[in-house]
Amino acid sequence: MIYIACALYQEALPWIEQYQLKKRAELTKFQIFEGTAKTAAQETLTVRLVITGTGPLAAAAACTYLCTLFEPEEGSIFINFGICAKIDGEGEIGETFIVHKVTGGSSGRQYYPDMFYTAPVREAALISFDHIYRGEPLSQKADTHGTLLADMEAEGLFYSAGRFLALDRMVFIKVISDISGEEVSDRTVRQLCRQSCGQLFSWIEEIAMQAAHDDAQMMPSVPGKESASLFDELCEHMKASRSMRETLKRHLYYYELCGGSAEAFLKAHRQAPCRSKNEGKAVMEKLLECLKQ
Amino acid sequence: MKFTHIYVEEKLKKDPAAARILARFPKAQVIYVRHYKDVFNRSHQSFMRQKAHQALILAKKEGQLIYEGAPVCQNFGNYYFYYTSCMMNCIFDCEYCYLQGMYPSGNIVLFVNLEDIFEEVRRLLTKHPVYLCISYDTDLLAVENMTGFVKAWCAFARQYEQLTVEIRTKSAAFDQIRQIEAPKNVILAWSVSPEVIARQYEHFAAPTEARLLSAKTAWTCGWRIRLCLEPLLYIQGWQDIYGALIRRIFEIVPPHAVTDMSVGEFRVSVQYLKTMRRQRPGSAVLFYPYTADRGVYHYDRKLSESMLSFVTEELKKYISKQQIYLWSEKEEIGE
Repeated sequence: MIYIACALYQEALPWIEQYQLKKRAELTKFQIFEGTAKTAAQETLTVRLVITGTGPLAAAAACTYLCTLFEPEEGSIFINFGICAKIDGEGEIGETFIVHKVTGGSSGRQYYPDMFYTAPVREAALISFDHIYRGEPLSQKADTHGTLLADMEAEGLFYSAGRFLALDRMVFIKVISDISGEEVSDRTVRQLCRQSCGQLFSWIEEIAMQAAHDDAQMMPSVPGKESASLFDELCEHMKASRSMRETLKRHLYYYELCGGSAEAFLKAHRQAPCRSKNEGKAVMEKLLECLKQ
Repeated sequence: MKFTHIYVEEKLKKDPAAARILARFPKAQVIYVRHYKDVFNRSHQSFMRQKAHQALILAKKEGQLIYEGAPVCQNFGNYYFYYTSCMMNCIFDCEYCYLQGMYPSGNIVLFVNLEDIFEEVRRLLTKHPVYLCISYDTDLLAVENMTGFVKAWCAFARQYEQLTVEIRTKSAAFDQIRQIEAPKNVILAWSVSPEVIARQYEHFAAPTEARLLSAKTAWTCGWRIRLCLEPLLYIQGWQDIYGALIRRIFEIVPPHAVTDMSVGEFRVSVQYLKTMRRQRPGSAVLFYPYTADRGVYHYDRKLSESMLSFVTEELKKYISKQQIYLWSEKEEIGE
């Protein structure tokens, strides 16, 4: 799944158009759009986008709203995309950057997403203010090495998305729209964002696919219905307590990780009902020994 | 070794040691941080995924620089047993490694202020001899071409007879220090596992054979070498497998070359294993049904004694009993 947060509709538009996202009209607290992305490898990804409004509080609230309604599953990624001002360093209007460090303009707190993916654009640090940056002197040292940007949402989004996703599953993408907070028209925002997104869609899809693939590999296989019913039957026949069930489950899990088949094992060790709990415990001990071997 | 991102504490902006490390990675993105913990201690990190995309963090070690050796670690009969971490985390990725339970991050932290650690060692040496392990939470020899720390430690150790330094490794990188003269008070220690275990669980580490050859080369160059059969891991057919390993060890490394050996079963704190299992839900070695006892997971007593006893008896065919250091539960509880 791909989660996208944009402050403005003009920033969201390229994504809405690319993935033909439809508005969820019944969700009224923030505008949420939903659709699917089809990757180059013909895999399908769900895409959800929220328009947060400007400012850190709105951003945090909107992101939390989105992730609470649609809890990110394993393999999900979060993208913040939007315009920004340039404070210092290299970068022209229209250039896109991936953010590797977010500093809260008021809080002074620093946030670092994990940067695993080689982006098609350069990286920058960013200060996230609670107002439009208009070129005023910074209250804190810009301890950066390279380009420094300014926005109003990244801190709020980092804080809220970080509750739902790992640090390597969050990507902050900013397009320089102004140098010192000068007004930018909707039309200009739309144009800049469209141009920027053109180079990003396939990269984002690749990251999302990689994330989904990585997590699928990590997750152990879920036991099938037959396994589950054989397990229940065995536990019932052994008069197993809750803790015995958990112990047997753990041993079966280990057995599977060693290349065994829990289902085959359970089939091979079906038991007649034990006459007593003690008999059940003795049977259990033998089974555990077999599974450990 | 390649790092796409290097985090550097601001206080090291003009530090020559940091500059030397950065010069090795001209294409890396440098990101300044206030304190290494701002990156290392973040919540919601994926240790495993970071292992596949490790970043480097350059920092200055402050506060306590030397620690007393932990009871779960072998002191080889040394009373004044300490360890230090001039580097946190390792370029290898062993599935059973306690670091993934202990550290919130899989990134590497390199403390560039070695001289401060040396000063602390000098202070300790004014009171008593010191046995110091410097490569516990990492593999210093494996990254010697980046850091030069092993050479620095050797040069330091040479000045102090009362200091003994152990440098543990799973690499075959002895050639990185081959040109220096072997200090008498430095022990190079290779952790050795059967090849089947090394292949399955010790990702990116040197193959067993390569480690043994490296150890042998070190010995022929005059170094004291130690071999560590730790952790012993249960695997089906473990007797045959460990028996074959021990035979192979001494086919490559002459018995008289070995200063001593340590043997210990797998053991890890309950808390760490909980975290490790969460990080690696598909790892058989982590999900073995260990026995929990006084906050530590290990094999049940019968299996543990059987493994330790078997390995010890096999080793005694080649080296003396006095050269074999066993860690056992009894030692931990002071029996």
